[in-house]
Amino acid sequence: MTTWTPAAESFFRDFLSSHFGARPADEVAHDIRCHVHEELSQRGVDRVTRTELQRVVEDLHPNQSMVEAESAFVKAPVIPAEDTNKPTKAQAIAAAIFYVILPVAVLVMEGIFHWCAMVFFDPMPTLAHAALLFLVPIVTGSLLWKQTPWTPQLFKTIACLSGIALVVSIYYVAITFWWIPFALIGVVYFGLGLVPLAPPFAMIGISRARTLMWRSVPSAREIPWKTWSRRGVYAGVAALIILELPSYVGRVGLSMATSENAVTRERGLSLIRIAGTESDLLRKCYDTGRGWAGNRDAAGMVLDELSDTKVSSEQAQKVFFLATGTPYNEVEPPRVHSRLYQRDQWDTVTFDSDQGGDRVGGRLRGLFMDTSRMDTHVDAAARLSYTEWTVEFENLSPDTHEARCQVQLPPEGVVSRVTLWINDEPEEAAFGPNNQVKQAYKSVVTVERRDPVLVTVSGPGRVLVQCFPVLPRKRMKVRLGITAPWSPIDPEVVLPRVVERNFGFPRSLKHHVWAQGDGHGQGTQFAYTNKELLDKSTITPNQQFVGEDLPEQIWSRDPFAQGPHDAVLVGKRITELVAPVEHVIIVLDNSEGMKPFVPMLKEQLSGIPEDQIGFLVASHSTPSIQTADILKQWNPRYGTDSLPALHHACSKLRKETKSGAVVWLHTAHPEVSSIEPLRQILSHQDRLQLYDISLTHGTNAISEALKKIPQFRHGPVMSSNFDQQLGRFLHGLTNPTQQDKWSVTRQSANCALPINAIQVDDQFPRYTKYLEGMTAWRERRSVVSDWSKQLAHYQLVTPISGAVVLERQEQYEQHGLKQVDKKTVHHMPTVPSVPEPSSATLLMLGIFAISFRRKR
Amino acid sequence: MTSFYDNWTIQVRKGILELCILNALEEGECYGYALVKQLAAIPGLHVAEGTIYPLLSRLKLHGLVATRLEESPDGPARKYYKLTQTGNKERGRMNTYYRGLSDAVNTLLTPVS
Repeated sequence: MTTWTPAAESFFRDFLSSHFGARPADEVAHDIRCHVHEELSQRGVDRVTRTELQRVVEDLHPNQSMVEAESAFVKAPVIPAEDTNKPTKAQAIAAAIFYVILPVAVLVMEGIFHWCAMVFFDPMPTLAHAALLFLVPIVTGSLLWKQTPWTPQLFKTIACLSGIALVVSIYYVAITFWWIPFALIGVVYFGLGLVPLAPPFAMIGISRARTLMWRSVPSAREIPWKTWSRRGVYAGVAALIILELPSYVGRVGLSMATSENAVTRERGLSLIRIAGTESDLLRKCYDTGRGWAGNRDAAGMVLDELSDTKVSSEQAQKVFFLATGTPYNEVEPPRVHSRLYQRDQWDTVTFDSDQGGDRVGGRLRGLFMDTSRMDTHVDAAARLSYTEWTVEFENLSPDTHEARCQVQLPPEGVVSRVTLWINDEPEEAAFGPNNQVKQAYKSVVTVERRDPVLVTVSGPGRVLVQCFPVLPRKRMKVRLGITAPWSPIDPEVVLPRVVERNFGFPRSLKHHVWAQGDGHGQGTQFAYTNKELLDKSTITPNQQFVGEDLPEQIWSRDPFAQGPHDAVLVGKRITELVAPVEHVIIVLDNSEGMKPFVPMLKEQLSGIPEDQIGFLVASHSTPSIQTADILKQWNPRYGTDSLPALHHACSKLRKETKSGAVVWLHTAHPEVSSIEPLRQILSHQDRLQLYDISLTHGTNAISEALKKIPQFRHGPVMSSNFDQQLGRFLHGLTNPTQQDKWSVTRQSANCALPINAIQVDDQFPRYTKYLEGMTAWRERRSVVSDWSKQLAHYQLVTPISGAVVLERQEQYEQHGLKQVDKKTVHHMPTVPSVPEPSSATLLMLGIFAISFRRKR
Repeated sequence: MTSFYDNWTIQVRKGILELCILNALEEGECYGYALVKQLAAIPGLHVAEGTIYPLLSRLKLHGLVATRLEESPDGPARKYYKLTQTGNKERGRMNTYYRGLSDAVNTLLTPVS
């Protein structure tokens, strides 16, 4: 590449002006330069100095007279039309306003206030979209008003960019052209409506600017403007395809994935997985369809307008799970613009459609669990643990929210206390049959909007906690007390944890855990992050505070006894032989979330004898029961509906065995298909058990739907030694096992107690009543309503009884509920936190005190 | 100060050069630099290279020649010239006229002994 020195450039300009007139025509100047360049190239000159240039132009020696004659001629106006094309001042101002300022202003306003996103569609979902849109008025302005001469390189660049801008403007006019008539009517009749006309104005602007450039600048006809412009058009089309096509494909795939036809559904899911975008699908999951666009993208607007049937948010939520393997509410919700932008406010989902309902639903921005404290006491003598979990919710958003979560309880655990702080005072719950407490809660939430808390069972081993209202910029504090069995053989205490929620956890949140026991040791304190709590979720009580020599007989006063004749419970430790079931089928969820557990499960499950256990991997095709060999090619992907596999396994066992168990190992599972067929089989089959073992946190729609089915139970809970627990559990199902339990009798308070019996606290009678109630419920003995009242009387949250805290006494009375007697509420036992001083220490202190007094 | 003779030669060459340019392009498209070199090399024509470019520009303005630019990685775009249909037609007319004029002038010239 030849370079010219500044001196050479200066000399060349002087040469041109002296030989070809003061202002030689562009073309002649260009031709002379080309000629000089060729000469220099042939002489092998890379760096053109004044000296080199002088030699070359001497050879040119144009004839002055001839050149003057020609120069006078060639300096005449090149394009006669130039004068007529030059716009007037008024036209220039109008062009500035409509072609540049209006589009830029509209884009800036949209970036700040998101009006279009709220009502029609989001034109700038990404920075790339914003860059393309801003390109249009910027290029238009450059073409219309650039004053300095164009260099060839700059000319090519602007030609290319103008092609891109033209394509982008045409695309946005094409998808918004239907606004134009309304906008024109608005302009004509009301003087408003220019904003929707910004896209067509921008398109007209860029088209006119390109035409003016082509006509008015001589260089436009020399340098291949059309070639570079065409390249820009291709680049613009490619950019739009890259940015927009995934959205269109995803929307088409979403529509196909909700088809009645199974083949079409699979194709739709494949389309989404290959070409769709998760963010677009997630927006659709939160599209409440309540008049707002919900920030849909351009594809969403176009296809919604063209389509007769719209995909609902519930359908989109199912498809999200099947396409990705993750429930939609496990992912951070999209930013949905629903009000004027305020710098210190959170954007929120426009409407919480699950408020007051029975499911956790989508995440709400601005709502958090701010503090968490767990106090755990191990009553080793009673073989029970009691955990109080106190949490505070904080609402940073401008809207009132309901905090909802599902809490995974320790195995066989039960909620035995619910407290809500109202005006900083703890108020205990009222317990009652499920329908009664739910009715009370919903009437308060939807009508009075006061302070209730509702706790009900949402599946085996899970409770749904609902707290309302968490006011803007305010907090709400609640406490759950949980009683669970504890065994010295497996001494780990499983802590409760949130497995599904509609609020966030701040990164700084720590769960502060205090663990103590009845032994002589002190309590211990530590803190878990939320991830640690989910991963580990257990604490191992140290021997010192659990104590040794656990009693074989215990007794306790029953604060809920009907009368003094049965006010004391006596428990005696016995061993019972539990018979195995005839056959077990393990149903394996085939969703993406299972992947981390595959190696562990393969190791645990492969060694089980084939005659005892069959395996079924959930899939979209017809399921079939296999041997453990199926585990070798097991490769979970995307999301899978486990219902067909569960139904098939239950049907098979119902037909072929007298007693059987289906063990379902799974991750989060939202509602994908109808649960009715499975519910029907289980409700008519007493000897068939379905065990739910969830390996991760997250929604479990099957568990929620089957919570009223006694045969639906839970297996081991995920913890640090889950693999051993799973092994023991499966062994227990397939082999006769010895099981320790209490044999409980009631007696009068006046009767003598067994000699070696140790007194324990009132958790023992509560838990005993829980076991009795659950056994009766599962065996369908007596009327459910009788048991629900009894269990509520003992302050227990079970599948047939719940707890609610209301604000005022009248509200309780209105719904036939009664707040618990504070004397019967179980409190966390206290243990000394400071070691008791020994006698020698006391003596020394005494001597010291006496000496001190004498000196004074 | 140019003499009467110099002026006259300039005037004659001025008219002739355009005819020469059009005829040089009869064969087809030609690179501008090569065209200029070709014409400058014709003995007796005595044309300076720098003089031809303004003439080419004027011919283009009249629509007798058309140009095409081709990108060059080493420097400015290269310009190629070719006759338009009009240019070809005018070339024919000019050639006819020139031949007639030349024959007419020749009748007045004294033969060289």
